[in-house]
Amino acid sequence: MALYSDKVMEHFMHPRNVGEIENPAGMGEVGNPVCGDMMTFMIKVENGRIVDLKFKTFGCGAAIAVSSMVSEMALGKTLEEALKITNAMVAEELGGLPKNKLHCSNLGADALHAAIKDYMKKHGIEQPDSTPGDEAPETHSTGKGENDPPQAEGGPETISVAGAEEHSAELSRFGTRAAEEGGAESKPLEQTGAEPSDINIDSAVGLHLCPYCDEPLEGSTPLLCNHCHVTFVKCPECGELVNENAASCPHCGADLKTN
Amino acid sequence: MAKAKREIYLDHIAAAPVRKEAVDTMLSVLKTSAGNPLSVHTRGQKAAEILEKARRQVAELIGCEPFEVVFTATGSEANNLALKGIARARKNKSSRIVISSIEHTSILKAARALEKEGFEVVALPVDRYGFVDPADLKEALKDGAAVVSVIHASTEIGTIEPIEELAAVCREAQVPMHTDAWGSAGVISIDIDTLGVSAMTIASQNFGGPPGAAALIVRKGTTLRSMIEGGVQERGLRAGQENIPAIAGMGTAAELAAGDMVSNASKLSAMANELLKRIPEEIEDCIVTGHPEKRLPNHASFCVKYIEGEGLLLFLDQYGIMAASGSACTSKSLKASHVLEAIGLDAATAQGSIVMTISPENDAKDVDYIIESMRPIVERLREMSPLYRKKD
Repeated sequence: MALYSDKVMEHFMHPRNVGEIENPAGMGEVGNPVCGDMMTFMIKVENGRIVDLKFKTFGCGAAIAVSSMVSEMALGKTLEEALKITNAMVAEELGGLPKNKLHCSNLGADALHAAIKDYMKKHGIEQPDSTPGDEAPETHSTGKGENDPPQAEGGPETISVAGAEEHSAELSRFGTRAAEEGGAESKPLEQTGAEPSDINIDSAVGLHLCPYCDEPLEGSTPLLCNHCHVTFVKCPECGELVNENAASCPHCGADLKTN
Repeated sequence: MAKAKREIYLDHIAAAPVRKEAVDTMLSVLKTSAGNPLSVHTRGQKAAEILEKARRQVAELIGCEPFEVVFTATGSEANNLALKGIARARKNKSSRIVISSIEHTSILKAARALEKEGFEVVALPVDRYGFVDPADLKEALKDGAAVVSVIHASTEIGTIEPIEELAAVCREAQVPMHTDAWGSAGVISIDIDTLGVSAMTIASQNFGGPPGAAALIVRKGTTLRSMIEGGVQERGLRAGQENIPAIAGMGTAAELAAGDMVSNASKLSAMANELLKRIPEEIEDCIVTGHPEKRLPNHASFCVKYIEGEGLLLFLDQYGIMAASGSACTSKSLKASHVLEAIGLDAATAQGSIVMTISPENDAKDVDYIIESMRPIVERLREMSPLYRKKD
């Protein structure tokens, strides 16, 4: 059984619209190498329509396939139409993604929307309040909605990693550093991170779902996705959920580094 | 989609083919013996005989006494038994556990579980090759400890730790030391007396035995508390009926490995060294991870800058080349390898991890094909990468 669908592999092997545009009308960059994926989208716009689009992606097979698919879906569309492309639509077009790769589809839509919003900002075009692809669900009942990205059925969730099948986020708690950087002293473990049983009542009432994989998030703020092992914070400007490592809010563009 | 023309398997440390002789042993056990080694009757005693033969074969490989071999199902189980078993048995002596920061997850997570029981865990740093400094260990043991565990050879970066020196430090501090040798036992010659450790994990799969058979070597005089309540199997240290067919296969593989691992190692290191030398030479911005010489002979590991490991693995697979990576995207948890972090690699570089582990079934002639396949893939992925700027 293959890790990815044929469609994902086809886009991964033969990605469309890879490259850069000189003096792009709009540019969006999301992700960072720490979380594993980074995407840059550049667009050229004529008469309110995306007439050229190029991307560059550092990331896994899913991230590259998602970038390619987003670029194909957005090319030729009006800005408004392109803003309506959601992560669910991208994942569906690709014939599904493994559960732990769904966040890649979110990044693809985010990068496209960031490029469009960059263009709109430069040209003084009023931006829509929110775009469906960017929305982080505020409250949810249990169960999956129709917007949830489809998942490849029964696909294996991981591939072999040099003998250790899993490197848990918890490991980062161990004092790991190269000796020449940190000296020779040894360091005891610190107690961090919420245990599954530590979910407090406040967060359970206003249940947040992970913007990447739609699993319930744990903790209050910051919120932790135990599935993706990504921590989210609320953007101080627009209140949407943002990866804690993000330099700027992909929803409203607020600079998060200085905040 | 391009169909693979050749099949070059470079992920032997994750799983390796079982040696034919081990398969034959297992089949014969499955077909002829259905006894429980604890039973007094003929069939039971036949099973006990098979079990004890395998115990002798494994003991011979490591240089220990047969009774010191405690069979388990997996290396992870043996690691848990060692760390939890010794720590709990010695809690009255000390509540400190000392491990390295590049241990397998079964040690790291067992340590974390013990933390919840009130133990304090010290994770020793490593240098850029992954070596633990005996001076650091000495410092960590100045107030004693319940147990120390340091991996014998890293399966991610190949580096072989100075276990003899570390064990000497432990002996001086009168603290039992465990070493996780599942990546090295049966690949390189190990004499447990020379190493001087109190306990050692070994796994059958790494030397041509079947999955589902591993062992914790527990030296005489080492205090250990069982994790499973039940029968008296394995000196009462591991309750539950032994997996006789798998253990018999492990015994056969151990005997064969004892005979040919030294000659195999020189063949393996010739191929691994060629990979370690040529890949960084022929692929720009590619670094070797781990020590270039003091490493497992079947192991070549790298970080290819500006690209992410999973994409590289998927493309290589299209060429029939099957390797592994410690990148975030290849792990379920989406975090890059803690080992690569511990040796001081930045997050972006660690994402380009690729690990190749070979066996005698590999052909050194394949090195050309591996590099010829890898080079255009790396170029292609770099063309796509926003982190890469072409050098003029």
